[in-house]
Amino acid sequence: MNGDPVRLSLDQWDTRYEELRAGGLNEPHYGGPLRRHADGGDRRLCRITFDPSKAALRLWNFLLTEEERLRSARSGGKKIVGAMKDLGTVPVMAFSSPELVAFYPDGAWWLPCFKELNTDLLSTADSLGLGEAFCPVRAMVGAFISEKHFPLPDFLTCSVGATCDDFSAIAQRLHSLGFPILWWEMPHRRPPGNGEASDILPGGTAATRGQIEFVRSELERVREALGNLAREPVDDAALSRGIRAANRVRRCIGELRHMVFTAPRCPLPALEMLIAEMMALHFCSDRDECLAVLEELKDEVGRRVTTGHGILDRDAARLFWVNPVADLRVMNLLEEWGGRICGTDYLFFHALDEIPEDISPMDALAMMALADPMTGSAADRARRIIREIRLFGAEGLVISRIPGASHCATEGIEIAAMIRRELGIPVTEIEVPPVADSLSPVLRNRLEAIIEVIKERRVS
Amino acid sequence: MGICPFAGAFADQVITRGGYDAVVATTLCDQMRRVAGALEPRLPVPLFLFNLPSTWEHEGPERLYRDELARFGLFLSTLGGIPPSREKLANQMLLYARARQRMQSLRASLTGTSFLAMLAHFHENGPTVKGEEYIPGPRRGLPLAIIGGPALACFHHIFQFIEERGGLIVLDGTDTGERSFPGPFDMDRARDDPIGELTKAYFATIPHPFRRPNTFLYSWLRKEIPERDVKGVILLRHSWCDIWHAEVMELRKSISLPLLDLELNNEDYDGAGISCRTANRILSFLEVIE
Repeated sequence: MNGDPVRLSLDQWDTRYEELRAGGLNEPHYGGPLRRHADGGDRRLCRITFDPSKAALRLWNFLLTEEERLRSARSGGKKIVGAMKDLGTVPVMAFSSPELVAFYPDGAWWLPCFKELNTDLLSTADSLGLGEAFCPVRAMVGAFISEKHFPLPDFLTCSVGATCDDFSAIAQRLHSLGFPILWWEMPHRRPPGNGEASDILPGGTAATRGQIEFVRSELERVREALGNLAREPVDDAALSRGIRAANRVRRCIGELRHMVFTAPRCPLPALEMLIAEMMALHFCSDRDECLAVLEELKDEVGRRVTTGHGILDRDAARLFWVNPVADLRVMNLLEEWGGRICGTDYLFFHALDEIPEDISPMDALAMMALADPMTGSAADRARRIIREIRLFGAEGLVISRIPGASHCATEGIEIAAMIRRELGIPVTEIEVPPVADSLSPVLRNRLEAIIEVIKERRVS
Repeated sequence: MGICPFAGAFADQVITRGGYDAVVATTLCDQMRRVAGALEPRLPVPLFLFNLPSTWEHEGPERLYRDELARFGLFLSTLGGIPPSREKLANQMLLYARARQRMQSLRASLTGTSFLAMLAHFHENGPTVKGEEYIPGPRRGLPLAIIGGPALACFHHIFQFIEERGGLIVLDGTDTGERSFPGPFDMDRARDDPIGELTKAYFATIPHPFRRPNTFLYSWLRKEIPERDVKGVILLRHSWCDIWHAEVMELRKSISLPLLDLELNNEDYDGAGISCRTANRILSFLEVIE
């Protein structure tokens, strides 16, 4: 592709796909036109724009064929682990066994968006007492009941304790409905007291040795259960291999983030970048293919950066984004309204940081789990955000509240106050429901306001 | 998402009241954990955040609870407290256990409103509660259980309203009620290992919907409801409390009794009495189950 890449609608992608095919497009087995996903019910795809590259096509196809991949893994004799809430730890353990695959049923929170609410997921959750006061992750319960969106896992884990109440309550509801769960405790990460032995965790926060040992002991229970499921122990050697493989994915995403967030011109749309980051959580159910998908995307971005091409104007306002959006289209809208993403905290920094390879694998996993931004204070999270804003040169901060999420009641206010105090950059807080079309004018007002302020500050 | 009124009231009290040397909060729910985190840098005194484990099926969380008790002891020492001997701590535990026994022995002769007032005194002042000041009866009315989150001032108005309109609260299953009484102490073990006994009595016995799994709560309800001949249950639910909110359907299924799910609103909290909506819902409930 010569010149600047131009984002394409789904209709435009139909044409582009035919052109690529005519040019001898070589796709993996899950490849095909994006249109088929929309025809199959993912109607939101008709309302969003996509990066025009082959690498992005592969990324989208990889994401949208996960259900088939899980079913195929099962028919191939593998056991399916449904990891809930910990966002990045249990799948590293599960993929250490060749007999297991893992995924996050939590991901069902995007299904109402993809289906543009034309699904009974939320109404099923409503009927089970999980109404709109809960975070959209309640759609997960509907997915379990309907068995339509993912195969029922052979084994479920859920981290609870210092997590969000919504998730804990929703998972308990699932348990009460007859889905057994192995609960494991995630303590609140606190600063070590005077004289307490402690370690620095991936990402830079600290935890006491006692807490690390405790989480390790909880993860030992998970490891034993995974070994029973796999019918062979998940030993340290297997875990070390699993950690090294996970780190290859994390390094790739880290390089991608650095290239995309620091390039003078934005080389990859925020939406594709969000999906790429999400791959760190459970490798979209196929770790090796996940790495290949990300490497191809990284190569594409590398080419664009080298040649100075980008998908947005050079003057796009550089924004740091906090929390994932329930409606993916909002990432498109932000760019349409003059912004670009230069740094993210989608609530899983700990899944992006490399896991230590020079210590016992179980200690390393415990340290990684404890680095979860959800388990610590909002101040810890804000400090990490400040570091990354400085690193990526973001000029403003957008905090995207998740409707109904217990942590969003106070966390955003605290993070915003710290960022204003320490960095003096503009901050705005928005709330994004699964389909935000009706709120688009409000979102536009708020996002255009921060973009305008950023651009004015450049002039002055 | 808004701030739970209890967590908000806690923060207001901490900021405005003063006259204390430290603040203690727990991680029982996400909102309290985060309110504590937001308060800490603003306080002139230290804040201790007690890590309360949710899980209980394995020994690890119980050990964590015990370690937290020990850490709390150290925290109190840093405030100038003198670590008590095992004997002294055991005696203090006995004092509290006797106060709780005293309250429980009076329970059957008190209205729910009087019992709530006695509990409030106990929570505020410790084991000095005697009980004579809480006048027994009249204990007439439809026997009801109240369950739900921790009591705020409005609970008094609600309890009073229910009992003035024909209800009798025979079971206080709120977070600050009799459901949260710890199990009995074994005083021999308490003298030998008071922290271990505290752990057993509190961590291993108090039923609460934040526990994972939440089965303690339902076994407690299945025991207490028939014993008190309860005819209906009222869930007093603070806004934005996901923990109690998510239990509504399971409660309906498990208790096999009429359940009024009462989410409190701003007017209930403003101190002037209960809102028309809350009053109407209670009256309708009483009428239906009478």
